[in-house]
Amino acid sequence: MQETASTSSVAVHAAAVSKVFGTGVDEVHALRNVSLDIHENEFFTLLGPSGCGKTTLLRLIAGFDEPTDGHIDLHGQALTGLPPYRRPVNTVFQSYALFPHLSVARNVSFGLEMLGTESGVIDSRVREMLELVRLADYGNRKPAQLSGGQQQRVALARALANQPRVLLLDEPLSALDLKLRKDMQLELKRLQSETGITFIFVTHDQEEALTMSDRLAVMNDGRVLQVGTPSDIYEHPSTRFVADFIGDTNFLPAERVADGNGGAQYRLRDTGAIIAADRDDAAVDSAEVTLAVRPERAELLADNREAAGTIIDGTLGNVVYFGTDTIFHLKLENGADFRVRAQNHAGARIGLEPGSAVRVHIPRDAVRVLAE
Amino acid sequence: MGPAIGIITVFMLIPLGLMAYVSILERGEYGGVIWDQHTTEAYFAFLFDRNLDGSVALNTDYLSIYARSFWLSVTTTMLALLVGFPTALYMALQGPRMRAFLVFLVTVPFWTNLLVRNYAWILLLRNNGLVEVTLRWLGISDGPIDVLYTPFAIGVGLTYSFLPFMVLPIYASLEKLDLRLVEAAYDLGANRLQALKRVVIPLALPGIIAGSVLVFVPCLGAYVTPQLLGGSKSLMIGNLIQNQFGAARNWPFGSALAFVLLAIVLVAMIAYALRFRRAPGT
Repeated sequence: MQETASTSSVAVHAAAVSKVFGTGVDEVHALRNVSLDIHENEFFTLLGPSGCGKTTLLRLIAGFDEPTDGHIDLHGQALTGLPPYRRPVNTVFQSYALFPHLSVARNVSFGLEMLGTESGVIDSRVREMLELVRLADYGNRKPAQLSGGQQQRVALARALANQPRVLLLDEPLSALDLKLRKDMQLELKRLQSETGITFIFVTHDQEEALTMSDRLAVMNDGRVLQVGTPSDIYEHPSTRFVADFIGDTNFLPAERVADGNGGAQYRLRDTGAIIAADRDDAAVDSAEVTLAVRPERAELLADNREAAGTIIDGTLGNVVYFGTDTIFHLKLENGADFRVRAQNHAGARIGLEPGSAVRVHIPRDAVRVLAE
Repeated sequence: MGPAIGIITVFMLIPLGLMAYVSILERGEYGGVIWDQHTTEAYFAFLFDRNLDGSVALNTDYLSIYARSFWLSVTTTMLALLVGFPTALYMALQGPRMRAFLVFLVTVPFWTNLLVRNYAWILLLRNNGLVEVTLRWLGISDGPIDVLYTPFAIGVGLTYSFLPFMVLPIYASLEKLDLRLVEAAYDLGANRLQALKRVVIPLALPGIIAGSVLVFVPCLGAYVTPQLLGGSKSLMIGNLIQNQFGAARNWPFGSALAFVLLAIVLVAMIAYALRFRRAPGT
């Protein structure tokens, strides 16, 4: 989150943006005081569950709605009051919204025609765009004659044809099947780096967000909870929601018992077990905390091995084999559920039987201290 | 399929065939026809007059009535489109409950008799009627407006009578319109007018065509409205035909007039269908 101090220029700047729909008892706060900087040439993702406000934010940038409070700047220029057709941004809609009465080529040329571009330029641009999305031979077809993935690419070509400074993508991959989605993820990344356009990508799929984004913002209930690079957010979630929404996390209620040299000690609730964590990692002053531990950062210890950090006793429950790795479900000594994920470096690990006593090693730097 | 063909045969083909047959029969002295005397005199009389000396002269009286009917029908269709499209668009943009209410409102005029509604227009349009009084009160005009019993009055009355037939099909096609397409048009730089022209109207075209046909065709044969609002100087085809079966007691000529109209409409429709064979939006 050091990016706020970065010198790269800001493409989209949201300043204390709020959006309220309806009035009185029907009032819905879609966005609450959202401030955000999205940099030029960045693949930026708005990630959150449905209803978190991510699509609302996108629509405010596109100009389909106006903020109730606050304002949005595009490359330093206020967008307030500017209708969508005067904004140098284009959108790839979730449903693609291709014009059914126009051919693929006419769909792509639509925006250029609206801008009054010369017809010769339009023709060559359309060809270029269709080549970019690998649909050069499909110009004369109607959208209904294309598959979902092809329609998706037409929607991309159409949005890119106007050479927007910022491209908005509203869950563009959600209607595609898994295989196609993976292909399109790569395709989008390729297009973004080839065109150098700022992409603002909305999704509820955390994996998609992690693999595609330069940076992402995690949103919930109209608020931006955390902004950062994928590894930033995965390794250092700032709230329980972020830790829970992105990846798999063990949550352990605990209380702080001691501050040490640069670190702190936490007692696991209902036990005497003490867990050590890096103090500077914990920007938390309250005594009651939640410790978050990623399953892949903990490990099961062989009977007599010792390790730096915390070791807690537990009982093994189910063992679930995933091919590349195995997840061990276990109960800690205080009855809390805990998962350990281990890579299957040496083939399937079937040495442990459900019900056997195990020891869990939690390295000090694997513990993330959360306020809630 | 079977019952449908039966119904069409009994209620459409048989009466139509009967009328076609009547049109080539000799007229009876006091109305009716002489069933065993055939002649094409009725069709001849549509275009020509026989003088006393037996010479033949072109008679454009009936042609001009047809021309007036076409002109009035085209004007009415245009007016209905002009008023009906924005109305349908407005309706389609409302919430579901408001939409249902507005559709209900559009159909309310059907609850009263066409005759009554046309009499109402007489009260509105006549000299010293509500329209004139209002214009005078607004200071726009001070003399009598003299619009009743003119083609203008017929145009107003027809537009009013057939407007729902324009609004409802257009509404039906606009209601299905995905508003995200309009947003997409805005997003690509189209202003409201461009979005309307390039996206909304093309996608509503099936409804616009259906509505125009539903207004234009019955307008051509309209009888009540021209009878009441047009007076004696602005005959339309419907009144002419009615005359032949009534006062003129010339059934074959009335039938022939009807079949000339049918032929013209049929040719126009076929030409139209050929022109727009590839329906847009599909």
